[in-house]
Amino acid sequence: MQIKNVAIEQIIPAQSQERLFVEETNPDSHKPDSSLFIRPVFLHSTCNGFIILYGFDYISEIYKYGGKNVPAFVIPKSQSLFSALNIVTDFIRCSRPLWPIEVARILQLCNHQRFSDTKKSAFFKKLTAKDLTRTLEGRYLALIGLDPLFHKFLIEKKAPLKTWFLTAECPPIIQDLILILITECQPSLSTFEEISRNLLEILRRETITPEQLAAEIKPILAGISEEIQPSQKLEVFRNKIHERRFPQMTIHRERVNDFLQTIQLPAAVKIEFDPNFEERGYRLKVEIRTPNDIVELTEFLNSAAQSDLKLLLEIL
Amino acid sequence: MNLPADRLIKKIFVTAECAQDELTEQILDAYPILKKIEIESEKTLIETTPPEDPKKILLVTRSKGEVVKDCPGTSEPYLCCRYQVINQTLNCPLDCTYCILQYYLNQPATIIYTDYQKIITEIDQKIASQSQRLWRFGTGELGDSLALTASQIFAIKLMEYFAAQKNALLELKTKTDRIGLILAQPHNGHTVISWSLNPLIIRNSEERLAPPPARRLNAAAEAVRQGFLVGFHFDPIIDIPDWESQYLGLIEELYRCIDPARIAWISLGSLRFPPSMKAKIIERYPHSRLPYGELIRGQDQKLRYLRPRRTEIYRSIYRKLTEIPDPPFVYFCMESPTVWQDVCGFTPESNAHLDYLFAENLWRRFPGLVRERPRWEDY
Repeated sequence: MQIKNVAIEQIIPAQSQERLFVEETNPDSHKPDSSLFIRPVFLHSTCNGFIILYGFDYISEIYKYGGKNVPAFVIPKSQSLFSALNIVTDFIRCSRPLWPIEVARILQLCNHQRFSDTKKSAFFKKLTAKDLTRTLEGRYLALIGLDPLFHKFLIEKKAPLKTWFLTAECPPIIQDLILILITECQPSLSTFEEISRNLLEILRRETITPEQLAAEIKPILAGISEEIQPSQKLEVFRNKIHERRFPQMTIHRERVNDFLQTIQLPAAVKIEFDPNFEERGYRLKVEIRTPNDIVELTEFLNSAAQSDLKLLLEIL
Repeated sequence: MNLPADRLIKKIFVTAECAQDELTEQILDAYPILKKIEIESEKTLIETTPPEDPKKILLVTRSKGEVVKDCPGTSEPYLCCRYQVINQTLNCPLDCTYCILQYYLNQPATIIYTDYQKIITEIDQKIASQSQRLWRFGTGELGDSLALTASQIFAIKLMEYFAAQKNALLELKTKTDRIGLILAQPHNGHTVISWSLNPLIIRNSEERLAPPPARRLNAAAEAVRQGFLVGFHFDPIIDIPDWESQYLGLIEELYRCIDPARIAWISLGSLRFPPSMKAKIIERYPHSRLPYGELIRGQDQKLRYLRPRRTEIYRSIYRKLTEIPDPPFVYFCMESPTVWQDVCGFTPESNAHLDYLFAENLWRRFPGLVRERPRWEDY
């Protein structure tokens, strides 16, 4: 296949086409002789002109600056759209695996083009090494409805497929709340996953509508002081959602913490325990730096605190 | 082929090596209308047959390795009872959402082993290795002991064997109620038929192919009338919003139907599963709420309810089970010493000690069932 100069006017206008692939720009494009784009344009020749398989952004840039022609790999009319897709995906996969949203769009295109199930499944297997089931296809297609900001976030964070699916499983009203978090607090992937999963699992466990849950959560989000850093805001929100997801654990932890507040520990002593409370017991961590630390510890253990320490064991 | 679960079976594959076995003949006779396909080996089945739901295919064959094993239980500090499992039927036709079998038995079919004599030799060796100990064996670990006719045929052979043993009991653990074949067999008191029990509301959502608890209890009552000892397993106990009234109601029903003096043992175990199973339950049973319970990672890495919550639930159930005079032996399956202590007021010192407590209780409550008074040093 050779690169040809194709007149932009012959290319079918971008807005009438579905964009299939995520088009990355070159992070080194500021360097001399570097191109802004890291992959060439791929066009498929049809009776009505050329359709863009890859290179929307490239073509838009050239058009914006008054360019008349665009250099592109042209897949001839004699090749079917299916073959053309194979060529482009092979080319992209030389440098990276396809993103789940790209696989989703390809599945959607296969459906629009009424490709046979056998053809579609074989193509899907080639791209993902998975067998295509109705459920799996449904889960992929649901990714198309996600806000593009989610696509951007999940790609940037190199999210695994399960996180894409998890995001799409959240009802739209919950997705809107999570989007606020993404734009305001830039969570890490693991925090994003944890919050999304907890919200989804609350919904699945309880007889509560997404609207009711959203109404419950919005005030939490709004109630977090604007003056604190986004990372702290995220942490507060994350903890609130965690408490909502694990209410028994939260009640138990609060009970233990409340009791711990009543024990007058010497400065050199710390109490540690299993955060899941599976193991009953605790460790007294003592740091002895001065002779006075020993005196304080002895006094502490001989004081009324002894009964508190026994009680703590029961409470745990 | 008269059991409801048998109707799920669509094909039977028989390997060449077991074609002449006595059990094979009986099993094939029990499924007269099904297509029987003779194959060279299990490998042939995998290589030549497109994958199907393993619950719909029976593979009748001979075992390759050990069939009789120590129950895998779980790791320390959780206590286990040193039960012995006879893995003759691998997989279960019932479709309980929480069941680990459907996720971890990586086999193309429900497997039935026919080399009865070899299995008996394995049991003999186990018993001979500690002849003073009371041994408890069961076929219900990797499959339901009685759901399929093929399993019942094997169970009948085992009952005959155990009837002649002095220090060994057979437990047939099931969720089914069609056990007429079994009830007619001689057993010499050495077969305990046991049922897993959960309230109807949980059966309706999580055990949809199993009969409702009332039918299981009716079957148990019939077993008692026929002279069998029975057992019950409240396992997995599931934390639902009205767990207390549901479980306590079920216990009342249990004691209404069954004379507690004929109950050999009752186990309690709360929902637990390996973390990787969570996604599999969600995928296979999208409407089940089980995976969204308040589960934490236990010290054996399995997901479990929070210990204080388990203790609260167990306390209520344990109290109800033991508030009657001379209650049955109640034990925990895979629970921590802390839970034992908080619920029962004592904890077995070790797995061996729990095993001994079983024997001691059976000796005391069922005179003649255990040959001699169990001695702790034998355990």
